[in-house]
Amino acid sequence: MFRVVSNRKVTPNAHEMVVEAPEVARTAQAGQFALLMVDEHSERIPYTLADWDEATGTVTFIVLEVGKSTGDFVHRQPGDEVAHVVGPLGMPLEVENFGTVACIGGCYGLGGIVPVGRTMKAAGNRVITYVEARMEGMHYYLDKYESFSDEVVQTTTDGSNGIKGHGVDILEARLKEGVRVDRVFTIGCPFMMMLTAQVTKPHEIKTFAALNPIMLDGTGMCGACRCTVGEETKFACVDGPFFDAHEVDWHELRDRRAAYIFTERDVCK
Amino acid sequence: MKITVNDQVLDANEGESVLEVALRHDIEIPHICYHPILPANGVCRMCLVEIDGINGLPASCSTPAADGMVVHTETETVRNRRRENLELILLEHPSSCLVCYKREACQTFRPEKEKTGVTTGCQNCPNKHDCEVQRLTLDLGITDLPVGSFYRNAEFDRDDPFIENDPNLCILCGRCEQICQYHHDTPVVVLTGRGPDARVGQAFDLPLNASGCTFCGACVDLCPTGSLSDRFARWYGVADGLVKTTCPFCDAGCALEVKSEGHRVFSATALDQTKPLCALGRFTIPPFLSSRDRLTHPRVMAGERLREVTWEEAFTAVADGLAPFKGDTFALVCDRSGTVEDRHALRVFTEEVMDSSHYIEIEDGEEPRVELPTGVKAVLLTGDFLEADALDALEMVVVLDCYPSPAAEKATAILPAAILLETKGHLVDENGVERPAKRAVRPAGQAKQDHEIITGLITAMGDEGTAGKLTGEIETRIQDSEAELITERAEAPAPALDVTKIRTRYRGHLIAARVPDAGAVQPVAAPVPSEVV
Amino acid sequence: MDRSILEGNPHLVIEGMVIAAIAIGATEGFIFVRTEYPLARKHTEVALQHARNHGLLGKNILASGIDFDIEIVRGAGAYVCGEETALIASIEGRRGMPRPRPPYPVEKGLWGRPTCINNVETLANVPIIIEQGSEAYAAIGVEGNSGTKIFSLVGKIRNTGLVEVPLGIPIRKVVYDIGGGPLEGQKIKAVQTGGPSGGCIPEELFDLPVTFDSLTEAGSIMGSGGMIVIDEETCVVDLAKYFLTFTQEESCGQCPPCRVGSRAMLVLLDRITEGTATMADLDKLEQLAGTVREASLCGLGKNAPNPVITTLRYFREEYVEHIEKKQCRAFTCKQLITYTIDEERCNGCGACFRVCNDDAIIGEPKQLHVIDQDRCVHCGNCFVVCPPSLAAVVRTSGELTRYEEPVVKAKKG
Ligand SMILES: Cc1cc2nc3c(=O)[nH]c(=O)nc-3n(C[C@H](O)[C@H](O)[C@H](O)COP(=O)(O)OP(=O)(O)OC[C@H]3O[C@@H](n4cnc5c(N)ncnc54)[C@H](O)[C@@H]3O)c2cc1C
Ligand SMILES: Cc1cc2nc3c(=O)[nH]c(=O)nc-3n(C[C@H](O)[C@H](O)[C@H](O)COP(=O)(O)O)c2cc1C
Ligand code: SF4
Ligand code: SF4
Ligand code: SF4
Ligand code: FES
Ligand code: FES
Repeated sequence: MFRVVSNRKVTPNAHEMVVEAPEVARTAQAGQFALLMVDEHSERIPYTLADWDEATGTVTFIVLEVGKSTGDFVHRQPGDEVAHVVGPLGMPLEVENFGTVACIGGCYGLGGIVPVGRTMKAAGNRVITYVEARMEGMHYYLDKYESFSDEVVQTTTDGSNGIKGHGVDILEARLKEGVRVDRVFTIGCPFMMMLTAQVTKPHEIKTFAALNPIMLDGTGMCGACRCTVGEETKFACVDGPFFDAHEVDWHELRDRRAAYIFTERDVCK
Repeated sequence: MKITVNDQVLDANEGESVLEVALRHDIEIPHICYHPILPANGVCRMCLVEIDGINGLPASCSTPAADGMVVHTETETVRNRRRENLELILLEHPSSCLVCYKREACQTFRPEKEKTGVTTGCQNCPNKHDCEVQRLTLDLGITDLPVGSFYRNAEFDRDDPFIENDPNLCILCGRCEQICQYHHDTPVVVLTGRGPDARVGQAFDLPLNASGCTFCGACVDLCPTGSLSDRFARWYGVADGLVKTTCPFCDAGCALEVKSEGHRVFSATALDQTKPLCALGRFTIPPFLSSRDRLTHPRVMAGERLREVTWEEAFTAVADGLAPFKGDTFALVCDRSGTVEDRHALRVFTEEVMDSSHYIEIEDGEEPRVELPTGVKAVLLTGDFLEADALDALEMVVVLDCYPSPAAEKATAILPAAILLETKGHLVDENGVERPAKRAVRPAGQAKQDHEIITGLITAMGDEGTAGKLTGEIETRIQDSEAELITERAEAPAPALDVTKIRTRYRGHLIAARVPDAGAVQPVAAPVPSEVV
Repeated sequence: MDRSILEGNPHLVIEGMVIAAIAIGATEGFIFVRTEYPLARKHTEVALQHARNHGLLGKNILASGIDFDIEIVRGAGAYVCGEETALIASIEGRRGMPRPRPPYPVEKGLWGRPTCINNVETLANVPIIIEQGSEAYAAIGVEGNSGTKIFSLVGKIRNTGLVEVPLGIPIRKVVYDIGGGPLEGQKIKAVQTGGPSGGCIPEELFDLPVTFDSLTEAGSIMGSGGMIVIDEETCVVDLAKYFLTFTQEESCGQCPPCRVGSRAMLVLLDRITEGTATMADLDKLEQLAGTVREASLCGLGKNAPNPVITTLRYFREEYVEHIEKKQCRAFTCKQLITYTIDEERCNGCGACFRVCNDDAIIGEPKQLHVIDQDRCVHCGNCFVVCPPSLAAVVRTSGELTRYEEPVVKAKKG
């Protein structure tokens, strides 16, 4: 069993969950995720590793409450336990000094982008971080971004906090101003990652997006997490989750994510 | 009476408001709190107009039309104030998706709403596909809000049966309170708190079932936002099927408007909004139809266990099995929940085919446990009607039913029945008048309607004549039917005003066992406050 | 005013109500008194009993064949219950919420019956008019505004209290002659009439006569007769914020302009008093004030922006100073005040050091103390505790700097 150390509501629909999982914390690398089962019978849900601490043996997830399983998880209080945390899974990011790295985050990606930015900074990159949220009160982790970024901009779609618009709009504006960006990492909903890819493509900037298809085993066996990248079929759990965003078939990703919508609705009651 | 609206002279009737006259003549004046069946409330302030001779900007919904009145609905002042008013409404509402300038691209990429725990924008709002606030915002072209968000960040109340209340989406239009008052005299959902703390809820924050709610769902129907929602229906998309039919749950005969998506019924609402439905009609049909343990495939005892078979095999097995029991050793037990046609077929089967006088039809309200006449050795049951020891004494049990029961465990054969909105024909209302029952959705799995199963059985018994005659009769009867829906009810049905009168069993099964919320609508005592001041 | 009438002479009100009842044919009357005024209630109760004992109320009053009785209703204290339709709802036992008019109470009021609603003072005037005749009454005051009005005169003046004046009297007379003028060393800046829903009238307009029309013209209202006098020590932006805070909390919450609009206005006022506003915010504030005033359902909302609208009309330059110069000339808006310690005056007593909750003051006992502006949260505690004999904490706001005169205490003995 894995003990929940803390549970903090960071936005109206997302919680920061810190869970004791020493083995995961010891070997985690930026870009990886873990599979979590709340109890023996629940779904296996992948969560991006938003942080980890080898010393305390804990890992941090940002959990967006969407349905049954995520709902069960965020209702666990400190001291409660969850059945399984399996990880780290997925390919760690390739880390080197690329020059300037842009981190574009939204949604649970506001947490997921933290290890990416931190690692890129440690490798000597200049890191710029543009994070978007729907409205005031849905941003978090500003202090974390500031600790590794050379520039941080927060945006909201309704303009109630920071600049009105999307994170990628800031990137677009910077590129127009002539700022050189060598690599872009983006974590968030498929739409927002797709927009990011559309902006960076004409500039030929290598862009990596963390895909979030439905996953089951997380070991490349079941094929549930199949996605098409550059006309090749990839398994997000072992080949990803980060893929070249310019090559991803976003519509397929969207459709596959909605594959179990009837069941998801029914268990919500 | 004549009034002039934007230079057009319109005829007005006594008692009509300016808004009603305009709407009747297709002149659109934005409005939110107004609803045709409710008295004007005048609180949302969207319908402001200028009227010559009247100071300021009167609300057109609460201003009665008067002869010679000259009204302007599109002056610059009106348009500005109206737009600013809506901007203010949006400040308390999660409005990111409304004012997002990537909106169109987003809609194209993901037209369906996305399910979520807490709604933070239209993209994951249960109301996404049909929202008055959204429509108005787009019509008035709002792209920016005057100050930062006043999102309430309040707890989302999901503890009540059937109805969920997310106070963060509420725009305080007051329609829910008004319709509740209209139907039940004393409103259950009310505006509480003042100023910035104003919101909609129950007095003393009690749960709905401790506040006198009858779960008629009228508040949910009228809520223009996703604030009050139907737990079952909230994440369905746009209906691809719409049927108007009679509620199959009791003999009150309320007319329903039924919506389905992809062969699943997801919502049933009152056709006549001026009268409430009961919790069964409004909320229970979709979950009862799709509860997990529905009997969906014909099964026949093979050795020690029931095995899934084709309908043909099932008919043959049952026909062969029942053959020795012709006469009074056979009995058929059903209740009155089926259509007139189904019950006719069951009776014909018992009396004419099986030659038995034991056609037992349980009256509504009766304790659904029957004592069989002595001598009966084989029964066909359409529901959960027999005690265990009665079952033990039988030689053959055939179950024609929708859910498992003790009888199904002892059955020689299980024939899955189509129920509720999966059936068609006629239902009889409390006054003995036949009302149309339309099929809104195909039956679960391979289930068939009772009369179809019966004719199948009769055919398998070799009596093709009777089977053909029966089918013919039923088809013509449905085809030539002139039965009409109760489109205007004179009075609210009794169970809609008093939940203790709600029917608790269907085909002998406790409805609450399949749909726990249906049991939870029964009134509970108000919890004693934990801290006594 | 109304309270003092009910406490001092409730008979007058009762008599007024009986006369009104006879005039309109009413059989039932209600006096709505706030729970917070128990004495008014008690005295009225006694007066009602006396009236009944004398056959002046009840069935067949003085054998005239007229039936009329009065009941006291206790109000639950919400400001909005003074609004007539909310008042009716409250008497009917519902939540005190205004509803749109028409229908007006005179057509459909309490329990759906025609109802005449008047203020206590209005009704108290009725017997006097009947007794002395309308001509005698009209002789007091000015044309169209006859009779007297009671004001509650408070604020930065020498004589405060309730005053009854003939209508039409210039404001100046009330403030200077009756009120005795400004406090020692101060200058009167304006007067807020009509309570929190009223407006602020500047000193230049003090020659205006106190009449319903002239006050309305000036952007304010007569209301139930509040007069709050302010002097140069009061910041008008802060004043407007103060009143608006009250009205937005008292909003019944039904209609968006009042509930949300006044709250949005407060956000903008906060920005202005904290020095984070832009001139665009000022435009927005004006715009919103217009919407709240024109679009609100009831009088509470319609009048809520009055303090803002009038201060903007008469003291716009103060708003602009707050925004452009980050300056509050009255030294009221704390975020716009910078505190520094005068090296010449500080004797290192350490009083300020001890009260600063944010560790913004650096210094050793008996040494000069210094304020770290980056940590300072502008609470002003240091200014308050610095001994008046030293007055070493100096305040700056925009272009203005204020030194307090050190108070030299005469040494004892
Ligand atoms: C690599 C990866 C990392 C992720 N990281 C995070 C994270 O850090 N924080 C976070 O809140 N969410 C993260 N997600 C998304 C998260 O897995 C889904 O929100 C979660 O599965 C929803 O489950 P549910 O039972 O609560 O809701 P459901 O009702 O089951 O589903 C709601 C939505 O989630 C999708 N979904 C359902 N099951 C799965 C599944 N097994 N795998 C993926 N998507 C599914 C559905 O398609 C639907 O769109 C990540 C997904 C992936 C693939
Ligand atoms: C928000 C609000 C509060 C009010 N409060 C009072 C009050 O406390 N006392 C009062 O007499 N009138 C109050 N009024 C005005 C009354 O509704 C009503 O108009 C008045 O009493 C009519 O009497 P008059 O014509 O004699 O002045 C208030 C109005 C509003 C809109
Ligand atoms: S469901 Fe019906 S009774 Fe219950 S609160 Fe809504 S309108 Fe009132
Ligand atoms: S819950 Fe719905 S109907 Fe009720 S006030 Fe809010 S928005 Fe209006
Ligand atoms: S103006 Fe204010 S007090 Fe009046 S009805 Fe509207 S919200 Fe209520
Ligand atoms: S999750 Fe099964 S193959 Fe990736
Ligand atoms: S529709 Fe007229 S005020 Fe709401």
